[in-house]
Amino acid sequence: MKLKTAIASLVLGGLSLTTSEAVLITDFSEPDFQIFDDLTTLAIERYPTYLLASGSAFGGEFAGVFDSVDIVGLSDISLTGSIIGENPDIQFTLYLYNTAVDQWRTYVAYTSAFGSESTTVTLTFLEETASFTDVGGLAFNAGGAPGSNITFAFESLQAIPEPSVYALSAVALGAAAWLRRRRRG
Amino acid sequence: MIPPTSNAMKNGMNRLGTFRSAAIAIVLGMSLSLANAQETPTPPVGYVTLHVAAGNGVSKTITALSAPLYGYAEGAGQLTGQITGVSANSLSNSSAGWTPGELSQPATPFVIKLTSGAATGRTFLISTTTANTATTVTLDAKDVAQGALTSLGIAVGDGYEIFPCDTLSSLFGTPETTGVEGGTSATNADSLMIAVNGVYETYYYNTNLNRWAKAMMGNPDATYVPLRPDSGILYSRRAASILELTLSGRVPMTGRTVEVKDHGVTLLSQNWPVDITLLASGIQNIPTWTSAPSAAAADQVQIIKKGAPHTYWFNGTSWRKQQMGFPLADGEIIPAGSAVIIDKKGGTTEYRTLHQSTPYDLE
Repeated sequence: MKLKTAIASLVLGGLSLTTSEAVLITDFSEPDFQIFDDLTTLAIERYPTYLLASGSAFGGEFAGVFDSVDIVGLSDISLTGSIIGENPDIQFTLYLYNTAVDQWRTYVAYTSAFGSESTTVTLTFLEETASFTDVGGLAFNAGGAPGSNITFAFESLQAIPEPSVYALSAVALGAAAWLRRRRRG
Repeated sequence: MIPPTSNAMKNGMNRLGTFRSAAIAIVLGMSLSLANAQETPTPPVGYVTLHVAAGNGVSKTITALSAPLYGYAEGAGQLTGQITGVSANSLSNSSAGWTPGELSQPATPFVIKLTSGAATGRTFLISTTTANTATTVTLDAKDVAQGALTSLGIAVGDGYEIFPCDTLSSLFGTPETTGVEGGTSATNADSLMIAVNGVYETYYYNTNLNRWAKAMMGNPDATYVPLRPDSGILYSRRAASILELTLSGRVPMTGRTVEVKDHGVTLLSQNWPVDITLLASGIQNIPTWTSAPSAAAADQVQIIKKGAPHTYWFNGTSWRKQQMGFPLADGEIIPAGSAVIIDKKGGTTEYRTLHQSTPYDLE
């Protein structure tokens, strides 16, 4: 019985770990996320559940740093947010930096995928300078034409675990179900 | 130093005359034919493929473009020669023998480039509203707005060459011929921007009118809007497919001299059929260029890569990229067939001169 309890604890612990690893940024509020003024050209307003960035869509940027998060198992990231006002229908680029801010991963997405209501979109991985897991910073770059504008409400950024992590989760769930059935039996 | 080769360039090149060094051919990844040996050097010719990044069918991805090869001039008279007279807005060659009006057709505009003398490297669009004579070409008003030709030191005996100037239709074709995406407005079509003297104008292919149009009331015909060699083009691709445009022409044989706004934005072509670095571009040497420890106080350059405009500034010693860590950017590549946006913070309405030597050795 003790062995079963230990296995169940491990399974549940594994699930819990998997869940925590999937979260990259639950919100963009301070002090979790601190804007780096020297790199930020978009106007930034902070609200309880989102960060509002507005300004030129031609290279408009904001950047910030946050506490390092363990993202082992990361394969993609998803961004939750919304477009306020007219959608500029442009590509944008999101950079994840390591804590030393000397390496970065690049993701792209299109604003057309976001609506005026909160929308979650998986960003497309583009390239990386080197593999890293000690994420420490983030930058956003709008790729519109001169004269275009963007207002984007950033709500959260989440890591999407690799398929192997999902597989591990499935195994863990299966094990839990098996233990439960055995206990009933 | 041989600059790196652009991924965008899958070039072939034919040998038309004596070309004593294969440097450019190596740089461009081109093959040479040495069968024809003549005394007079002839510009190497080849082709460049421009790659326009795909949008997603609704949202657009931006790419900076330029046409780095010169076209082939055909027509009567001396298309290369020497200047015998200059006025505020015209250049003359008393023995040119040009066919009156031939160099001034709106559908087939021409450019004249000075190849020697104090104004070497300057290019001017030949006016399409004032017909050329047998001996004189009048230059487009926008091209002499920065100052009278007589103030540039152009002298009798200076060399020139005349070649065709690309237009919207000659470079970008139609949806049927090139795959450019048309639409009923600039919003639902591929759109592109050019800037003349700091003023951006937007164009698109109008599928109702079946022609290029300027994005403004009335959708004026833009089929023959000239694309000056020094001007960059910002192409916003809406279609969810890469657009490839293959350009052919002659490799520039002389450096270029171009005017940059002292205050405001200049959309400048990269100009060369090879990649160059930001440091080698010499932009930091533009008179009154403002260097500063931070980007906010400095004049800036923007390079668009994979749909993202990146900002760079010169700190007095080296170029830096405006991103986390402010990495060194002297070696940042400005790809062949691309363009840069120069944003100068000068306090005047004047223009400053940028001179660039050819980034390859043709001897």
